[in-house]
Amino acid sequence: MNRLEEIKLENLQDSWVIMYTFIAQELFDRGGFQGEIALREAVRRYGRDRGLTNRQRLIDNNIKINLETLFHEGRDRPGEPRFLSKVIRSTREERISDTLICSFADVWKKYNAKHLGRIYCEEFHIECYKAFGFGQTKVNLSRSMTQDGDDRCFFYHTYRPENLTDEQRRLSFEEYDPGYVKPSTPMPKPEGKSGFNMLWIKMYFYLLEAAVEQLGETGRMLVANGLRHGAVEQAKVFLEQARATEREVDQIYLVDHLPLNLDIDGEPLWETYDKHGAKQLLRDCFYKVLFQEVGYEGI
Amino acid sequence: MKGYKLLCDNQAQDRWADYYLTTAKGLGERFGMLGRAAVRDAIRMFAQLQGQHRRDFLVEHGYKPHLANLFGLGGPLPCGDRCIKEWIRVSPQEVFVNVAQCPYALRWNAAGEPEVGKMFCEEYYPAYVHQAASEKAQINTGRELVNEGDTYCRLSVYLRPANLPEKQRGELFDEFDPSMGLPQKEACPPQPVDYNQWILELHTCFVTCAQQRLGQEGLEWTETLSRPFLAENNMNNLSMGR
Repeated sequence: MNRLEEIKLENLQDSWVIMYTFIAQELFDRGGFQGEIALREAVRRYGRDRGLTNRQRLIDNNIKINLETLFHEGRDRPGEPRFLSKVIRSTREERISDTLICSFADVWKKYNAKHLGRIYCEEFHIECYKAFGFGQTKVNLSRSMTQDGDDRCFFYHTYRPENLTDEQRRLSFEEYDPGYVKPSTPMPKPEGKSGFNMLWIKMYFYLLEAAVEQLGETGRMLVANGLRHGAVEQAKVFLEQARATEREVDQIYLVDHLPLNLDIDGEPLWETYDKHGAKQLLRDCFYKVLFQEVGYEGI
Repeated sequence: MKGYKLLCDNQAQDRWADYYLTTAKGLGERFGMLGRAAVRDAIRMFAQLQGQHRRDFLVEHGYKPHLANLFGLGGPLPCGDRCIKEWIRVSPQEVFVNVAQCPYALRWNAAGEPEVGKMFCEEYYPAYVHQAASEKAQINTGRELVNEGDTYCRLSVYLRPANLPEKQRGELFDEFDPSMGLPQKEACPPQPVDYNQWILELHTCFVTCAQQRLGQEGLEWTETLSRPFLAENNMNNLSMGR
């Protein structure tokens, strides 16, 4: 992978964090306490969705549910070159790792939004990994880069057969499933573009859903504002990046660097996530603004 | 809270740690996974009991059971001079603390049984804080002295009003309680810990959970494991009253 390929992945990753940051900022700064409630709830729903989707994906592929598979076959977030972690222990029952470079945290620092990242870190991991592990994964994130004074994240998760039901144990550990045969072909790894697209749409959808539930039309308006601000910032990032690599922000550039499908109507995820007018709001407040800012006339 | 330690009967504390270790290990060795499941059940039950005692104590003295009060003297961490802590942040919503030396871990590691000790740490702190404060609290234990290679325990605990039902917000935080007058200026009084009583209470939890998970054989084996400790403490005939 050359540097230009790395830049694509970095932009694909940063895009959904930028969107989260600008919507979260609106909810937190202008939505008051109800806005914070909505924000935390949205992150939890997003985590739960990813955890449950992953769990089902593994079960459908005859792969056991435990901490080893969670961080291998169960990893749904595509890799990207900046992220750096030190894995101290990785077994089916225990996972200990320190994250030393986190591109999420770097985006939040850039926008002076560590407190919004803090909320993400507090809510996401617990909910996602718990959902994956039948509610029995113990998730410990005792230090994190979104916490003032911390220079790394400490992750320590446990998943114990003793805390599971008989059926959950069977689905989780080979020794409780006599006759189990592992699949002989590896599961496909998440693709950069489609993987980040999935993260983007799910995160956006749950932010909108929770905001509307907590704040009604005000919540919808705040999300719309966040999308517009996020689109302006996304355009700025693309224009700067394109200039630095001696390119134009044209259709090819957008296809490569924006996680979202340029043809919003062609996105299959809307079959599940187009509620509360999510697709139309995204078209009006993100796509149009982004395309206008970068000078792209659309397809 | 900082710079002040709750007095502790170190001998009783060690006896309690030994009692836990002997019974938990014995159940695991005899009954395997189901024995360990009974142990984890018992730890959670014991933690809920202690968490409820803590909550009741704070409420009776007119203090909200939020994190700053919860982790005051008599809170979930071991008491005494042998528990060496570094408090990093203490507020109603957040407690971050490193434990550089833990009297329980000293005992369990010296016996060569850190894994049995680890079961206690994994189950005790979440169940305790959920009972004492709220099931919405987030308890993160990121380093543990019973974990090979770790040089301290790290607890980072969060209790966010935004995650609580409205009723709990008022119960836990002054600013959400319309009946609350001026905030208290005095620190909450220390809540003594009686490790002899802890042996009795943990014994009750072990017996209950062993019987539920393992039946009569589990119950009898738990009684066998417990007998020397109960006899040594001359507590066989003591009631469970607190």
